[in-house]
Amino acid sequence: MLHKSDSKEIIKVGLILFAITAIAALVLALMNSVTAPIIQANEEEKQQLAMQKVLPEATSFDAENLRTDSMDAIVTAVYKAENAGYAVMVSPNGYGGAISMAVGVDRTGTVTGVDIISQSETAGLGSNCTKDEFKNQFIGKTAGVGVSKSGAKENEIDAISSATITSKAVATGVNAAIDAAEQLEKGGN
Amino acid sequence: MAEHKNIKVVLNGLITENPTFVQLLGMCPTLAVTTSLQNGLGMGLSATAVLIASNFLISLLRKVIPEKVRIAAFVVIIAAFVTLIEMALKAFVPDLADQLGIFIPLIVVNCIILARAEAFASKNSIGKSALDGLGMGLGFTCALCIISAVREFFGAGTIWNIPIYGTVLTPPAIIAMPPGGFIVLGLLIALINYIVAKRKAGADK
Amino acid sequence: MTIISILIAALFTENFVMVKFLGICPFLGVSKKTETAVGMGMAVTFVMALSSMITYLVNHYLLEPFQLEYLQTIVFILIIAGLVQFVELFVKKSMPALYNALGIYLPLITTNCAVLGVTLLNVQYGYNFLYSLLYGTFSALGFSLAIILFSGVREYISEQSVPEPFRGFPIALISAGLMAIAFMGFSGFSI
Repeated sequence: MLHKSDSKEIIKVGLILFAITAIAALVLALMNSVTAPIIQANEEEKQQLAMQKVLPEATSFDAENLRTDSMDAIVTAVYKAENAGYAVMVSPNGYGGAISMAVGVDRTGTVTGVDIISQSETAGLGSNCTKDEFKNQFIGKTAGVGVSKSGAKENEIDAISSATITSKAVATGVNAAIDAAEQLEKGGN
Repeated sequence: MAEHKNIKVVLNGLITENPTFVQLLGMCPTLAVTTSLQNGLGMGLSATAVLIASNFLISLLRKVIPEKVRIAAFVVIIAAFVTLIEMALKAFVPDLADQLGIFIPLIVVNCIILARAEAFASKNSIGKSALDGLGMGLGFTCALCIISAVREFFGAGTIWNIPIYGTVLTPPAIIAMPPGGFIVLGLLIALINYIVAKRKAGADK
Repeated sequence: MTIISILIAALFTENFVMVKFLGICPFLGVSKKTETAVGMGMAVTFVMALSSMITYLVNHYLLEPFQLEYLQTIVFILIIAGLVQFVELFVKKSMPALYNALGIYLPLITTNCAVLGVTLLNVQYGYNFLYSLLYGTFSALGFSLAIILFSGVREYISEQSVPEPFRGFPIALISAGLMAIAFMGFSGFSI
């Protein structure tokens, strides 16, 4: 049974806890209004830079996202560059979570560049996927890029040593990007 | 005298009661993010910032927070500070935020922070509590730096991303992978036990 | 990803304890005896499945529509803390036998980072209600698997003579490392 003093106590305790939570939420809302635009701007800038990098011939990109539902689920966005091809944003799952990357594909379905926007792979191993030696292997490859652990053959790339899962994830992303670009190219302009 | 005591509070966290090597608290980030020195330092400093801020605020409010719901109140305060740090990291050092990933929000359940709130900040003055947060935070940071430096050196052949020997020898990657985390920490604690036992034996003679 | 590959990943290839380093504190703290490890595993599985469901609903129907995603951490940890308290009361009243077995582990679960971790990962991976529930349950089973296997190893070690500096945690950590190597063998599944 609750005594009057007990219920008073409960209300008091509840109010104090509520006040703390409310103040915390308020402070966070304030901070969020400051940082959210910066975070978004950072991401957009990074994406723009990456798109420019993977499709060097492009002078400008259409603002419209051409992603369709028939594309692989890891394709997050596709932007067309006038006469140069497509910049495809993909995020395949690596060893330590999603790898966010941009892939440039020209109108013949050939890769023109790969850039890693963000990743959380193992430092010193999987994180080597951001290095040019690895990324640039994809340039000139066409649909169905394979990963090799011992000397790449036709349309294959060399895996990063001790990071096969990461290498395969990046290759999966590139293949999904090529497929997405080819779908758009076939679909007519 | 007072100054001497303050230094003692900081040193206590840094060495005598080092949260990682002595109290074995906060093991998840200790193992998960210590693959490179940069990550270890980033995690350590983020946790230190949360520790100082939460110790400070909890000490300030220690007479207002009702006994019965103190843990819930502590958790809310800590979670708020963690979210603040997360937003700041994402806005100003996005690369580090990517690397630490889910372990930034998980600072909330880092036992070090709740343990210090309960054991120290809720019973001591504001200044002392903030110093305790600083000491414990630095102790945690130092431990993370040592572990991550060892793992980065042996696992990737680099320190702070600067190649040391990786071009000549292939580093044993397993050290940077999860099993290496357990084994390196085990060996480091064994080494500390050994040194402590040696010094004790020396003092007894 | 298909359901099956998510489940196998949660159990083996991305085992919460051995690969993702979530839930290490109870993994090292309550693994001295197999009996307690089983109890902890059961309690964690129960709470992780429940909190995966509830946080999904709260996030999907409350936080996202009002664009309050930045409150995720604070709301999720409060839900988990409340849930653990509720489960404790409920089990105590209706299933005293189960309470006697699990009771002492329940309060520890609030600060088990595997629980908060799985709720945040569900959001990060964009899982729907069913996937969240399954991922939560199977990650917890993966946690249970690791802690139960490890408790067997530790029971064995406790009867051996271990060099002085390695006694206690160091040898436990090194055996956990060897177990993690064994778990790496499962990564063949995903390829």
